[in-house]
Amino acid sequence: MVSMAGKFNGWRVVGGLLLLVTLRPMACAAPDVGNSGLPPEVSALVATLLGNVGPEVVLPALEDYQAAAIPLDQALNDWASAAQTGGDAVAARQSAQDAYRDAAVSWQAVEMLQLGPAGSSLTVTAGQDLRDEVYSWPTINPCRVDQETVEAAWDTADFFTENLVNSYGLDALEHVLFAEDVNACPGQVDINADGTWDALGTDGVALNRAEFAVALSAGVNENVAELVNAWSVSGGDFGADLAKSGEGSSSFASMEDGLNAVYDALFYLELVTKDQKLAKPLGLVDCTAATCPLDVEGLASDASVPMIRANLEGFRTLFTGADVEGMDDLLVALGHGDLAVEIVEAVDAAIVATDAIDGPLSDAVDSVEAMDLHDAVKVVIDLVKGDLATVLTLQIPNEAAGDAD
Amino acid sequence: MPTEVWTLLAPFTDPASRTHWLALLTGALLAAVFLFWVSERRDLKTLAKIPSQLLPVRYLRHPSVALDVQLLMAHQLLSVLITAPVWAGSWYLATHLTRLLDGAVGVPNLGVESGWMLSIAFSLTLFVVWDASRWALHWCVHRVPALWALHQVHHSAEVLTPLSFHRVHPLESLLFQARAAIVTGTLSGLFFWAFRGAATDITVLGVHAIGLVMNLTHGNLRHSPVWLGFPDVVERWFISPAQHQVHHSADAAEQRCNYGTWLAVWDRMAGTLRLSGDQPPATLGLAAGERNHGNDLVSAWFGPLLDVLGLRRLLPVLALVIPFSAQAADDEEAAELTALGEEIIVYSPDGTPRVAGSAHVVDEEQLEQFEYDDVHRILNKVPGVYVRGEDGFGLRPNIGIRGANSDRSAKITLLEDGVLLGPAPYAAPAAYYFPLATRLVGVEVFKGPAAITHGPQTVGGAINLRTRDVPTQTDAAFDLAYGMRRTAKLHAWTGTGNERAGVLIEGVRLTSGGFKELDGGGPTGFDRTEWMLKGRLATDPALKLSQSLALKLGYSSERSNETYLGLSVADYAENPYRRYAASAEGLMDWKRTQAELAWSFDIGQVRARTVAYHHYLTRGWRKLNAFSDGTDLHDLLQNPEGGASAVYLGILRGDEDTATDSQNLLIGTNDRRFQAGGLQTTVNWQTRMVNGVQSTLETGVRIHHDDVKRLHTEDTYAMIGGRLNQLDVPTQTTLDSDATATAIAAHLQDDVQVGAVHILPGARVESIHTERVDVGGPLSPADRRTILLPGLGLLWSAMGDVNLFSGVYRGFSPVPPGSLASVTPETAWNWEAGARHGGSGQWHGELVGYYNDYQNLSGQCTSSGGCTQEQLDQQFDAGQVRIVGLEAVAAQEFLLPHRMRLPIEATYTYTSSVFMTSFNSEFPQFGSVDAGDRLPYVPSHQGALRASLSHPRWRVGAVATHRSGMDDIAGGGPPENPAVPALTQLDVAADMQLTKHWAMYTNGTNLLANQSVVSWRPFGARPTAPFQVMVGIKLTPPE
Repeated sequence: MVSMAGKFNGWRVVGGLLLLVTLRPMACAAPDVGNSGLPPEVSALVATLLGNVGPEVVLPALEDYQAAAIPLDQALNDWASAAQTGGDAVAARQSAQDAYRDAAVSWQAVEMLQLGPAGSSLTVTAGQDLRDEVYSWPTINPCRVDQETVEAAWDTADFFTENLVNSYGLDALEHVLFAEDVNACPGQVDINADGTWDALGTDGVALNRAEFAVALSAGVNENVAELVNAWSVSGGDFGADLAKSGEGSSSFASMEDGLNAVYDALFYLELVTKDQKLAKPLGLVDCTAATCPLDVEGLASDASVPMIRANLEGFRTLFTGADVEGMDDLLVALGHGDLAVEIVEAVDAAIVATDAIDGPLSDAVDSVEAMDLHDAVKVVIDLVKGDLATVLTLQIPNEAAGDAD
Repeated sequence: MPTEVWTLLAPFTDPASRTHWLALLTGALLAAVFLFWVSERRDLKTLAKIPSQLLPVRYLRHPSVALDVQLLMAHQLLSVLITAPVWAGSWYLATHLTRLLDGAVGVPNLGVESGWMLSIAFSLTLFVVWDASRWALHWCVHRVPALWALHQVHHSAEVLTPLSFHRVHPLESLLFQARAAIVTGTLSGLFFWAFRGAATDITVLGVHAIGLVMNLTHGNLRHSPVWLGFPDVVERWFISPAQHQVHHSADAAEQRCNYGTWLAVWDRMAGTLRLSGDQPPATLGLAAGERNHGNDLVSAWFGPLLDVLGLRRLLPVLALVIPFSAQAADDEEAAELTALGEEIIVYSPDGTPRVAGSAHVVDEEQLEQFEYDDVHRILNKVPGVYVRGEDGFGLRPNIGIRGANSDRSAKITLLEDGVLLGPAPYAAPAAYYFPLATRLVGVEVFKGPAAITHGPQTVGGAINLRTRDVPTQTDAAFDLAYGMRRTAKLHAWTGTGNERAGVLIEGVRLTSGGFKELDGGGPTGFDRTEWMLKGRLATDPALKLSQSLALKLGYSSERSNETYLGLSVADYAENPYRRYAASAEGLMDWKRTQAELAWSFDIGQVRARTVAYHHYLTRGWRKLNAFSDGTDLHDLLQNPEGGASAVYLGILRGDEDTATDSQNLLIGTNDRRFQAGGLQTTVNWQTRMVNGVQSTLETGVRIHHDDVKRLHTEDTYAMIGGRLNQLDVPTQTTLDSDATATAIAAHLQDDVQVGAVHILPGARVESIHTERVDVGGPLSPADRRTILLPGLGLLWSAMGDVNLFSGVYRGFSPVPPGSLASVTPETAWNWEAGARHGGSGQWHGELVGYYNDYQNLSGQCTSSGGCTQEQLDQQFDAGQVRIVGLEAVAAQEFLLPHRMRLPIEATYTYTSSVFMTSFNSEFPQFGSVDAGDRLPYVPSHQGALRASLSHPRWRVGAVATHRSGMDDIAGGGPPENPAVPALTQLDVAADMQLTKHWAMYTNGTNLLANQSVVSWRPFGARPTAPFQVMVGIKLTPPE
């Protein structure tokens, strides 16, 4: 027993603390990040990060594409005019091809952002397949495009609703812009069997292709506008829905679901960029020969390498949240800033690796530089699948309190 | 409610808290039972005193308790005001440790998948290390003077209540939080690094299960007035509440013992263990003069700090500015503990329910009347049984019982004449073979505890299909029928015999042109043939020892143009019977042989039957498996409207041509060869009645071996011009494996009759050895497991023809071959209780309620369930699932004038199933599961009404069945995901006796022509079989 002078009732201390708590502004219940193991204090940052995806990442990338589409439209119209009036269609087509490369590469930044409306309705939360409407590679059917070139029905009101994505979009545009005079259909297909292709003649085919290209580009623009509308505040405002994950979002029941959507989108770099655009042409997977150069993306336009570069830049933007809060900031807040730096450096290294490839990828599938690029992309993905996954998925057991705990 | 309020209430609402309301309640209840049990007089007076023993009224005014409350409230209020730093968390440590190990050592590829063994190992490791670390820190806070100064706050409690648990100095609380963070973080990091998230601890209410159980049982009695010790032998392993109360003794020597929380081993190793003995300590708290604080919050906060900082000598100065309380421990208020030291006996058994529960029989008369060729139509009238249609003919039935997954009937035990009928019931339980319903003479369904005598699948139940016996005279029968869609049946049997010998031969041929319309034309029907030869030899039945030998030989074959491919929603709406062009190659082709030799003897009250059996089945099923790029056909057909999906659908339909490699179609032939053989003996022995007690014992042993060899290959096709064109691509072997299982099973069941009461204890043992070899694949370890499945039942013939019964047993479903040791089998504790009235007369009623408590419900991957080749035969766990159901049967036969009868039967099943945990699973029917979701393909309501008007010369009958909607995946998925809608069907049958032996009959199925999707598996919408009428003529055997 200890004897102390004075007396102070402990209940008064308790009452004082209670008063402090009562006067303290009441916080809204912070949404739990679910099983991610993220401390609740980080929830606000996650909400900010999710809120940035629409206005800071997706919409700017779409606006970039829309900007690139303006010279493309102009060049296509010039090409069509030249073909119609007997002008220098060859030069006009060349200009249109250059403009196409710029626009197609610009689109590749959006390719990385297949979360929400752009994504597949089969596999992505709130997916509306809008990406496929713009660009559906590798779901392209050149024969169908050639059939439509002969049929010349692109001005009908229901052309884009009656036909499937394998006959329109940026990939179809690439075919009509770059294809040789012959068509891609086997002999038994109508345009060859009934002679309608041959009946068009070289000039007729060129004219139809030029006019079809204008229509295809207009269709792409419409679908891009629809995607912009789905994300914009004045339209579907999907960005707000993502930002409200776990707090009234119609698509994401928890903040973890929203964060997972962003995390899942990063895997485009593995599933498509690494596996389909690199590993398959390089003969590493799904290729029965030593290499499969015909499987590169952008084969006709020779845009394969800049397309991959644009994917990497899109990845970087999504990961860093452009100039505002992104997943890198989340890692910093969680005490894993070194990982954020490591991932960004790996992406930059992969971008540098694209610059080392001289010429189209189809000509370099057996080169050391192409393999280096593949390996550099793999380093990024391994970090995403390994360390980043650890940080986002590791769960902590909940210990039932023992004595003195 | 604001977060702050929850934080304040957390000690009573957080399941991880020792003083969670449920833990307080269970602790109080157990203590009350204990106190009542050890009292000298167990009467109401004693009972009335128990509340005051649990919480003496004077405690409410005790200053020690007041300090408990103050410290608790202040701690919670401070935790609202001061947010704990993130970095103190175990999560931070765990993630960094994992990354550190990944970088330094690399990611270990242990090949261990999630499973119960791994969970148990992780949970036990956590429990042991947590407990050891608590002990170590507790030892330190007693032995290190500065820490003891803090820990005094906890030990100054002069009376103990559960709130004394929270009587901890804030700095000591931080110490223990750091301990938790370090231990939990390190272990979590290590296990995550090694097993990549496959190791999850077993939790209840989101809390580590073992710790929670400790808290729920005796955790709160450690700080309580209840003196509850364990037997000495137990106290050497586990710290009892009394031992902890010894630790709270005012005697310094006793304080320095029993540092453990749950385990006593640490104290034993350190030599600090003290058993509780008979008497509680005379005084709790601290010795006079040792205490560094009073019974006041501020004193308890700052008094210890003075000791820690060595500032006590400055006390007089400090006293001028810090008004400490000068309260001393009041000796008169010292705790008075109830002196109880007897062994705990919480309860004693006072009754046993029965094993033998509900069973249902569809007899030959019903089977004959409706002449069903689809076993689904027989079973959907049986309460507790669910069926999932696929091909519309029931060629490969999907049957589930009481919530057990219906996929390929793999979760139920299927028997033919008491012998396992599946192609390989242990190694590959999917039932690709099923006898033609038309030749069955009885179908017996054993559910719940009644299934314990049949295995290996006992979670849901068992179905025994009875075939025709060898006649004891010369008999013959003939049935020829023809109906819509070129459906034809020829069924005949003949036999001759007497009591000593006989022979029977039976054959069936069933063919149909099919009801589906293939794009571009082509067959969609089937052709089934079955032969059975039976022979029997017996000794004179009058002999004391009578014996018989019975031989059964069978041959069956099928060629059916069946496919896994269904339809999209829109195409189904347009024409539910359409089949896409991509399914044109679909062809199932199988042959099965069967040989059984049975020896039976009968001597006195003992009967025994021994059967040697061998079944062989070879099959190849050529069908569309996938697109080259792996696009999920099931998901595609549920949502094929947009983007690239529409292109893929166009290719399936033949509207679009394949244009890229990724759009090629992979058509596989899943060749499999199954073999099963074994020897089984069943002995029944009825004892003489002694003192009114009679016992009927059944015991059985089965030695069984089966294997399945799989050779799955795929060819590559392109869709060109609406036709499938095989490409010049080498055939790919996707699976080349051999799985075997050898099992020894035994069961014992006794029916002890005491007057009107039957007590039925029983048990089943399954010892299973499995192996799997994958050519070119990873090496799978051999696996051997033995499991005991006990059961107990009670039947009481209450009032003549009213039987009340109840029972409990442990259900089981084995793991597939090739499973890692960490994969645990599906197990459940199943309960049922019911009443049965009548049975032998014209009235029969039955009402049964059941509760299946799955510890681990599992899904076993099949191609038909939508799994990929890589997932085939893998087990996917769903954890805890609870199923509650109600089954009712009411049947009455009305006798009418002119020798007419009107039997009416109604059956009803209600099922409620709930996943208890949230998880994501690759098993297609689970997907993303939220706790509270219901099981897929289990309807909430199912019922049937059967009525028949019969005359000796004619019969007219009708059956109406209704099933409520079902989910395709757990929880029903997103709103746009269409579930399987409710379905009502009406079948009718009529027959007329033309002569003494010849009769004509007709039957119609789905008379209402109701049409709805019956399944989305394997890929896409499957239609209800359409309205179908058959007309036939029968030659019936003489009565």
